[in-house]
Amino acid sequence: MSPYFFLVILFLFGCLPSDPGNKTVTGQAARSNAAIYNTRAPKHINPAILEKRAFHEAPMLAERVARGKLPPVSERLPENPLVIIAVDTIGQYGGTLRRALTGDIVQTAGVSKTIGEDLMGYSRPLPDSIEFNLAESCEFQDNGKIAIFKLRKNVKWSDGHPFTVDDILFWYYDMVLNDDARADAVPPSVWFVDNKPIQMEKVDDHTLKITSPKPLGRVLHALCSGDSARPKHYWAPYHPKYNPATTYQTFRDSTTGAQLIMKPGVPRLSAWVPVEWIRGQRIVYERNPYYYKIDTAGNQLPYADYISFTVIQDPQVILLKFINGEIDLFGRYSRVSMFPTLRAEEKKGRFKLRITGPDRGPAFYLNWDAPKPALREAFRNRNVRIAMSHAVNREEIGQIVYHGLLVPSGYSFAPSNPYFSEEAYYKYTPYNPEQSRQMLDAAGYRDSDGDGWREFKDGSRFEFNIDVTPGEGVDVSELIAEHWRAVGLKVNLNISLRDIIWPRRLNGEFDIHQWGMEGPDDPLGRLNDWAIMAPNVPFWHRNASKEGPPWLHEATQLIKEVLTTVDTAQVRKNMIQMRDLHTDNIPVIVVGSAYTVWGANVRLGNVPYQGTNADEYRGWSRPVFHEQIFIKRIDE
Amino acid sequence: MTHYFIRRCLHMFPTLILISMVSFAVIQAPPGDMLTSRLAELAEQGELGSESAMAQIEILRERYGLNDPLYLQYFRWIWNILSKGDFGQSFTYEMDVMELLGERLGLTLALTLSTLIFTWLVAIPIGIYSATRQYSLGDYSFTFMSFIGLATPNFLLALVIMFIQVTVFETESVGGLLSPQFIGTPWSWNKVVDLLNHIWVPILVIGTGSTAGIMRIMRGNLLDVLGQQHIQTGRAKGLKERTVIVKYGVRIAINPLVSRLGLELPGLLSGAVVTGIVLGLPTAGPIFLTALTSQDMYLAGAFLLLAATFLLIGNLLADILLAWIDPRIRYE
Amino acid sequence: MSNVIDKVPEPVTLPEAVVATATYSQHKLIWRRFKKHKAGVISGYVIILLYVSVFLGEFLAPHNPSHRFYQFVHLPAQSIHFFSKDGFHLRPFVYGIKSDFDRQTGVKTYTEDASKRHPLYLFVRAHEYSFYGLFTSNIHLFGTGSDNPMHLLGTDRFGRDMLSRIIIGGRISLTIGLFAVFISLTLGSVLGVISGYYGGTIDNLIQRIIELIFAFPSIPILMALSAVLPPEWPSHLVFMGIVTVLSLVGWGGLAREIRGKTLSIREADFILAARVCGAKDRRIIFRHLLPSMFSHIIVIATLAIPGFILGESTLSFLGLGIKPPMTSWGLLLSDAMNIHSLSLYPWLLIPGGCIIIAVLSFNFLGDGLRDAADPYSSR
Repeated sequence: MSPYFFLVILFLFGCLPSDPGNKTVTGQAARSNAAIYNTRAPKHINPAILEKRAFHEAPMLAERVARGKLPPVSERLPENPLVIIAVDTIGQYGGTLRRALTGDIVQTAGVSKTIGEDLMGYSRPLPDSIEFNLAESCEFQDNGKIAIFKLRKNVKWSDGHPFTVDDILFWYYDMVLNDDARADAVPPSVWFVDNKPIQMEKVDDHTLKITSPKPLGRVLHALCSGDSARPKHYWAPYHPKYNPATTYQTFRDSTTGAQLIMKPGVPRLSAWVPVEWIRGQRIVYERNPYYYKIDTAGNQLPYADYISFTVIQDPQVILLKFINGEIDLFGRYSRVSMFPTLRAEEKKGRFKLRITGPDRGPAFYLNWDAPKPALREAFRNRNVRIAMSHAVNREEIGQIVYHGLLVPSGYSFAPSNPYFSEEAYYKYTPYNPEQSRQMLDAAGYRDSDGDGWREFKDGSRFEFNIDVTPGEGVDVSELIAEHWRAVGLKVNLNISLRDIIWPRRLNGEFDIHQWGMEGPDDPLGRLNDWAIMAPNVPFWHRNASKEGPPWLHEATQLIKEVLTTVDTAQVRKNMIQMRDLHTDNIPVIVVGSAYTVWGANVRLGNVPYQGTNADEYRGWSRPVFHEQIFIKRIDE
Repeated sequence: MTHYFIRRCLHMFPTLILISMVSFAVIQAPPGDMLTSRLAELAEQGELGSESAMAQIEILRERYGLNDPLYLQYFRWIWNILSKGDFGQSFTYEMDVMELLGERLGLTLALTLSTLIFTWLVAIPIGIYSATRQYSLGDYSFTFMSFIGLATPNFLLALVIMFIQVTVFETESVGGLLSPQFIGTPWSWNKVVDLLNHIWVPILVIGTGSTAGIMRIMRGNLLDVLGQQHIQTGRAKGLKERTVIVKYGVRIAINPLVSRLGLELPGLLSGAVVTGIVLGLPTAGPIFLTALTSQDMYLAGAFLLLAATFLLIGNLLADILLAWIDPRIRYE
Repeated sequence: MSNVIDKVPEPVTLPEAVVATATYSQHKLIWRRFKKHKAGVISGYVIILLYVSVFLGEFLAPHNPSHRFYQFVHLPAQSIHFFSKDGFHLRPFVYGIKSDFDRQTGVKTYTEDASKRHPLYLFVRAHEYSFYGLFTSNIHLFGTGSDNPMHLLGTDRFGRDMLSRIIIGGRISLTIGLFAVFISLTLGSVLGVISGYYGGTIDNLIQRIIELIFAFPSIPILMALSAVLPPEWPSHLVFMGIVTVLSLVGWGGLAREIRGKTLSIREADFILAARVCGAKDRRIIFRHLLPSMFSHIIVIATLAIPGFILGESTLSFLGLGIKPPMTSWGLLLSDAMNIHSLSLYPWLLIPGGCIIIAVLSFNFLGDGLRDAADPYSSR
């Protein structure tokens, strides 16, 4: 029996509304959940435009075509361009989108999340589903152990060179899996099954075959997250495998994350390509003449001619410049503490605010392997953790620190998650210090010497430090410390720079570590903060593989099954089971889910009002989909 | 004089070596290293879970030789500087340290020198005025104004100026040294105008503090000197008051300030760190602070070495200047 | 008395006994001259007032500076009233506060509740405090006698009383300046004079040390320091650490200036005269050189104290200074260093005003002292 029995499998982790697995080769359907808008743009493209290839292009490109520097737009676009329904209206060409970063190299993610393109992509602005992007179809065979991706034909790099499967294989075998060539020290674990890499092979120029000994449960997600292709024609001469005259050292140094995305001259598939990079000051990107997306009127995207990132170290100054109209989009560095100011300044009519979420909020990671044995014993006691959760006045923290932009909740999935459950979401969150005290008493942690603080079972004081880095976390920690002190726990704050706090976290040398909640954004994205996937993880329980509680082992097993199945029902069942195990056992104390405040200058058109800030979906940047944002002309 | 000059130059080397050692040790003092801080940065941006963090760190440490003992790392660093002029790579900026600093040093020096000139041009005449018209209305008002400048923390002044620029004057571009459209363009008249439109803020912010200091010292010194006998002699000889003050008073009163001049250079260089951050200046200060927090040791080390060299040269110049304007100083 | 004073300009030639009297008289003279300097005298009183206030901190502060009035976060300054709609009240009072949280803007708005009056009392009993560990008390200079809101300078983001925090925070800021200037002045003047007077090898050695210290920006040292301080460390040790580092960094500049001064003065006639008379180096340094530079040292010291106060605030701005629960003006001000404080909660900038007042007063005081102490002044 041939393993290639034809089978298209529905498999996404949630019963996601539009499953890309269903879509077949044409893949022409207009993208995204634009239906949630009352967009004034046409919902469908006129087939005649595609048939006659009667596309429109930006004036700056038309001028180059006229000078003979560039082939006409009909030749530059792929056979099957990706059609985008604009958020509000068909836009106009021209202008510069102005953004800011607090650094260039260290803030590479700010750019890659904005302009990265991959074979697949999450729908925007809400990540309800996975959609086709550079790939136009996908087909699973052999119970999901084989995936066949078909690429859009005649997509070109920004220098006009054709984009083929070779570019993906170059990226995968010559960069990701090649230990000498890879800029990062270890390869991303997502490409490994049982410590062996998943295999990729070329069927033809536009057909990629991915094979694995177990079903490819995560492959669509993995192909959403970045640039899974590198221009082989450009990089091969720098790669020792193709050009023995070079060294791996130089190759690594020239292919770091920042070099790949910021260095002018490197061909890209993204909407804009870098043309100017002044280190530590400014990066300017110009439109990619070969970009493969069009709007529903047949205009090649992006609308804006340029996008610039100015480096401004202090987020307060970025805020000031946004208020002043020098920055068009403000979101990556927005803080809830800025919300009242932004609201007040919004009245002047220069910009409009968006509030999206709730997602990722503040969390307190109790160290199950805390240095002090008595503390360790206490933190491993489920009743102590529940008591600590009930002692937290989440509503107060929400009002004081988050200006009301926090939904008090526990260690579970946020409402936007497919596995959301209201019951789990609010479990153990009601503020009840009396119950908390009773539970601590019952657990044997009483104040026996009458000094106002409880004692451990060995008679020493119930005392611990919270490690926290400057920022909102400090305010949350100061309040929560007060709440815990009120039930008799002696809490100290250790406020230090990230570079001091972080090594303590890595080495498990903390009592409690304050950080954003990791996991429930998308538990599969940050598995090691959520399950025992390797020795020394999760960081809050480094000995979990040996001493971890049975429920954590069970939850880990459930996740491992999820990773290697393409059966949607199975995935859903496991995820819900795993959610309940975690929520019931409350290993981490979560304060709530926070909203994200961001804004756009009113001169911009097509900036959505929805979105997510969840990391897994490329943070705030990607849901904004910059390529269809346009700059309104003043005369309107 | 030549002998004195050579000897002073030779003195600089042991100091430099000592400084390089101290720099290296101080940068290494906090726990962790640049790799942990880099990974923390990535994790904060959501680019990396802590999953691979430990493995990453171990391999990279080996790759960068961070597992070697400290003295070995130090000697490797120094050897590369001495033999190849190679100050190493910045980890946070992924480029040659000297190339990175070189870009910013020009602007930093320009800003530092303009500030220095500004403060001296403002402070010395006012100091002389205040000393010669002690307790006059002018003396009091200058004193008050300079003290206000001295008393306002730089970061407060910088933020308040920018805030006023935005809310009251709706200035087109706040902060920085240039409007974005001029960054990286060749120099032109418009660019110079744009620079002048921006640079007064940092000059004012950095300058206010030291202006008051210099002015008060000038006033005090001059009052001291004017009380001395050679001034009385001068007056008794019937010299013009102006000549007495400028030739006999100011020339002597300015000496301690000249010896202070050498100290101003590195002070302005690193003292502008905070202002640089708040105003978003493309100077060396802000990247130095980043280098310190992220333990980017080669960058921080190079900056410290440079700042030290600046000081030593500044001191040397100040000493020579002092010897030149005050012939009473002996060279032995 | 006045006869003796007239002879002051020639102390070197006077017999031993007369010198002693002259020195004494000189202090008297300084005091009399100082009193003429109005700004200096006023500043002196301001400084005394500041130090007395922070010394009596707990007694003066109406609230516990770390107590959080959650229902009154970012409350603007309340005013004291004498008139209500019932007419005049001999005893001043503050009104109650009604608050309203606007979810649309994320801002709490406050209105005075005219139906509730909270009269102020002197020597009122409120929260208990320990006075430098000497005794505990619950008597405060003034207050409403309960947890009624009475925030004359408003509250911060946690609803902590700004007035109380400013009083308690001032203690740190003002003592840091004093301690640091004492240490660096002692080091700086002694070493500066020795260096300038002897020259040669000693001078070289001291100059190299100063160069080393001065060439080294203080920020990395402080960062390293703050990194190695364990979080369990009691706050007074952190405080001492900051003072030490500030003064270790500060004395170099001082010493250099004094050296420059010494270099020019050591050639002066009266030093030469003393040397010819066979005076020992120690005598020349401490009897002639140092006193002759007294005015200069005063100027430097007065300019240095504010420098240390500002230095502390800069450290706090960088997150390297005093750590909560301790507080200082610098820390309070750095909390206000963001756009929302400037635009919405301007009363959070009051600690900046305190810094300015303290720095101004020190400068005027030093100025007055300088003019008074100058032994060669013609007036």
